[in-house]
Amino acid sequence: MKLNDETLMLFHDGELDAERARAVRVGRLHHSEVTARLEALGVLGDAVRSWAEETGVDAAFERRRAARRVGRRRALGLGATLLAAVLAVPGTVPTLRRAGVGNAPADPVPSTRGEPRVRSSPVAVEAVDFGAHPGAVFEVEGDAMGETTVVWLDDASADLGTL
Amino acid sequence: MQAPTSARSSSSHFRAAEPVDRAAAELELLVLHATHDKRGIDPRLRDLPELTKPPFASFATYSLLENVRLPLRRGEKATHRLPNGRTLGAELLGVEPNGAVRLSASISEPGGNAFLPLLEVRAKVGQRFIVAGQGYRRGILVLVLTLAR
Repeated sequence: MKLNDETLMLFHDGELDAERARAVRVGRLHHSEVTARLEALGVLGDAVRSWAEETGVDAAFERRRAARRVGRRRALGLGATLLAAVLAVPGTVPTLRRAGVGNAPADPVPSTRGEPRVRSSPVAVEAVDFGAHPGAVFEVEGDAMGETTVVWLDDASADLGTL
Repeated sequence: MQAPTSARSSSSHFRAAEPVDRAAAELELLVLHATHDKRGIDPRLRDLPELTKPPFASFATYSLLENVRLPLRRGEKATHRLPNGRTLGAELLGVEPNGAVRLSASISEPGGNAFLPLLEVRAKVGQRFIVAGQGYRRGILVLVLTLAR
């Protein structure tokens, strides 16, 4: 069974049938590439959902999906659906951001509590073009001085092999 | 460790003759390899607490593959070949009155096609950002870019 991105995304969303889910679990046990790919897709899927919730795209997408549901052999999870939609239209990949990321000023923001210290705003991403690959921009907790901006690229070049 | 190259350079001789200290700014690039092997985080990366936070914490091993410095100049793209064969490019866009530096970065495939066509950021000296997710040898590459000066 070929474990492609769609299969792994469906597994991540808990929407695979039992047989195929078992194959993914076996693959995860024996092939670290599968685990790495699941992690990458999970990060991206979470970011896609976050972006969809913030922008209301999920509601619009759900309405369109419901209208098309009749006759479909299966329904894709929101993450897989959005991801597939994003993948299907090169150049239309949104800049996925979480709150506080983006055009935040690069100037230090003084803390108002506790020990007087300066927390730096994260590096500001002013523009990003992910090209044909989906991606996400978010922040992770860094050192005591602030958060770190992360640009996550979804790279489909990883060979997951055939199980 | 590979020396950074310039888009205008065409030979290793020219690369070697291009001092970093003439650059208007400088970007430090750490190339990390994240895998699910059980070897832990390279001690040289102890100053990167981000690696112990989600989503990076999902990888058990981080090894330092390369540590290079890219000179940033306006109108001139510095490039560095990554372990996966792609090329990272970086260029200075401008320096703001408050000291913040605007720079662009991109990643291209070996054939020249863009993998990450464009990333523009604004940073101050000492700040870092991370570009992660490229597949590489049963794991991913994590590029940690710090505006060194």
